[in-house]
Amino acid sequence: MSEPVLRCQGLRKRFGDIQAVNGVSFEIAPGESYGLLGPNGAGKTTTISIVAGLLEADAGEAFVAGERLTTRSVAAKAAIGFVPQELAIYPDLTAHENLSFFARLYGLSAKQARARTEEVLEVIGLSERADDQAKTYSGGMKRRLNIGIGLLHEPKLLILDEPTVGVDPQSRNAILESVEQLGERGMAVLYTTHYMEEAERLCDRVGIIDHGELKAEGTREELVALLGEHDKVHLMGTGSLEAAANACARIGAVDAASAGDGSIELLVKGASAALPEILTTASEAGVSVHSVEVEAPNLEAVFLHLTGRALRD
Amino acid sequence: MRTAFLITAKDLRQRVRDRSAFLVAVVAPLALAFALGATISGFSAGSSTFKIGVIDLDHGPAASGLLGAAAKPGSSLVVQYVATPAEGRKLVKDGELDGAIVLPQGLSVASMGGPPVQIDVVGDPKNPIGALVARSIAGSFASYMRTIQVASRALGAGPAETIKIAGRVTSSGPPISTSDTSTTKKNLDPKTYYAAAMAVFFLFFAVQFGISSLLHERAEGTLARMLAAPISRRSILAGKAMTSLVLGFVSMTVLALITRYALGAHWGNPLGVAVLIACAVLAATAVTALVTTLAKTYEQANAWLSIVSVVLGMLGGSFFPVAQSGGLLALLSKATPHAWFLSGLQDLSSGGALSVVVEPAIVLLAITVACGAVALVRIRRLIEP
Ligand SMILES: Nc1ncnc2c1ncn2[C@@H]1O[C@H](COP(=O)(O)OP(=O)(O)O)[C@@H](O)[C@H]1O
Ligand SMILES: [Mg+2]
Repeated sequence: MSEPVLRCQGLRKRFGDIQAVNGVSFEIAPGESYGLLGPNGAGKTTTISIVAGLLEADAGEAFVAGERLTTRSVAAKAAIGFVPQELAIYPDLTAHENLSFFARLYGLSAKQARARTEEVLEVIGLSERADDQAKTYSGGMKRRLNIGIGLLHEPKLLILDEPTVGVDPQSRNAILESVEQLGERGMAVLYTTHYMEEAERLCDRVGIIDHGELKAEGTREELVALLGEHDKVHLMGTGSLEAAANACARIGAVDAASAGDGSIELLVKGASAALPEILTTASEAGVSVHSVEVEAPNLEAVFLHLTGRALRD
Repeated sequence: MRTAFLITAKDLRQRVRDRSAFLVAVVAPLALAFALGATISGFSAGSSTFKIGVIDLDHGPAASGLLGAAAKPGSSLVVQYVATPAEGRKLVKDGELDGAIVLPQGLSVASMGGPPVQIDVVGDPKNPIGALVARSIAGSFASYMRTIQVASRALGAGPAETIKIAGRVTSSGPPISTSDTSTTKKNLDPKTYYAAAMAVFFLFFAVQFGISSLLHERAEGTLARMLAAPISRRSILAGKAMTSLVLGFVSMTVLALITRYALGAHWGNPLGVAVLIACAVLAATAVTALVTTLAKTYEQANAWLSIVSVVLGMLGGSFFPVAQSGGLLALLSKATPHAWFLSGLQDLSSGGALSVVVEPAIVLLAITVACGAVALVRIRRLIEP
């Protein structure tokens, strides 16, 4: 396999009493989208700040495109596009001026900068308002400008820190779409979020981070497999639920079944195959089933499984 | 270096756009130079001495500010405290005083943005010039307070800062009674003195838009963005320092040219003036950098810089020729860039050879090196995300 775009090994960072990052290691392959999924305070921003060359790690190393990355390394930083969590734009400059300034800062010539500024304005949909000061933009437009600045020099790795926090649903969708497109065009993406759906939608692989530690990582399927291939099945119905639950529990594919308020919940190995038998058993036990719901396991359930806590608290 | 220029160009574009730098670097000093210079030219022609009474019903810091504004080099002015308006009126009527100024209750509050008040001037119809003098002193005081307010607003200081600044201006102000200093031999004419004094006073405000904006960019997150770019930290610092230098130099040069041609100020040998200006700008930038490295936030830096600028300005003779008053104040005055800049100009305009600027230039450069060195050691903490 080709050299990873990013390789982190044993990153650690402490702020006073808080061990913000505690031995984080991961790799991102060229063109791969990698998500860091974890709740607020998990250490996502700190990890990303180290990877972007803003913070010096207490221990561990990061390599970008093979170059050792420190806060002083110029070459490694040139391979990275960085989009901070908080808006970082000049409100009294226009979108055009904001982009041109950072394009030049990233080493583009005046001519290249002009060309890339126009292209990026197109990509972020701000061409029409390019000559208005950024302070006159809507929240979503500012967010897009914030992201656009990270794209100017066509980095090998784009780092986005929770780019959709505090954004209205429409702008949020636009942001997710453009990140998807960047991924399709072969840009590697490191994306942090505490939204399970975003990580599932955007990322080829996800690292689950909590208390500064990477609890698990892999594709969505690999992570879900940690749940032990169990589907959660809800049977809604009326009748002798208790008896039906006991009867179902004796089915080979069913690990556990418990009757609740108007429903039975089952943990089932291979729900689709076992479902006919479950339904038959239930009705034989005297329950008339109104509806069945098979809940696909998701990353939120994985996070719950790994940490015993909900992702959003 | 290329990167530093990019950052300076970006900063200057922002400053041109929001006009606050223009206000602080050009408009405010010009307005004051005109107001103070015009006041003095109204009554300094004659050789008689004017006795002006001050009735301080405010009991706030404003009173000594008035005296600072009133004390002109080359003026023939004696200021005397009087207890009540009635007594003031009597003394004016009897000819003991040429005029009197009543500082109303609430004046200090008003000067910090409180409800407006009126400064009353007491004159005697038989002594119209005395009344005119009193009126023009009150007028120049009002514009002085307004300008300080405008300058601190432009720099983003809230009302609290305005209060502090106003308090500082006055509490470190000049002694209560001031007398004629025009007999001192190497004196700048009042117009030139105030042109130069205001220029160097506001220089310390103008350069703040460079170095201390690092703290602003840090708070806004744009500094993190620069730090993530493939550029050195040194070039970010260099860019910010250059912004200060350019703003300072442009401000001083524009003021020198305008006051020279519109106000008739005599700055002296252009080369000598250029050297003094360059050294003063360097010193102001270094002092500003040092104060900035001591502050935690942008707001704190602005507040401290305003106080430092005003205190140095007062001590250094921007409002009152402290250097000539002798004693401790004169000694303290020697520690300020303002005093050295002004004394260099004085020597230069009283016909001294170009070599007279060498000593003040060396002192200003020494201040630059001393403050700059400490700032450089400490500045690392400014360029962190
Ligand atoms: N500069 C800092 N100083 C002190 N504590 C910090 C600093 N930055 C982050 N922390 C702490 O480190 C932990 C991880 O923070 P962060 O990386 O911002 O988490 P996330 O981005 O996942 O929400 C939090 O407990 C936070 O309070
Ligand atoms: Mg964060």
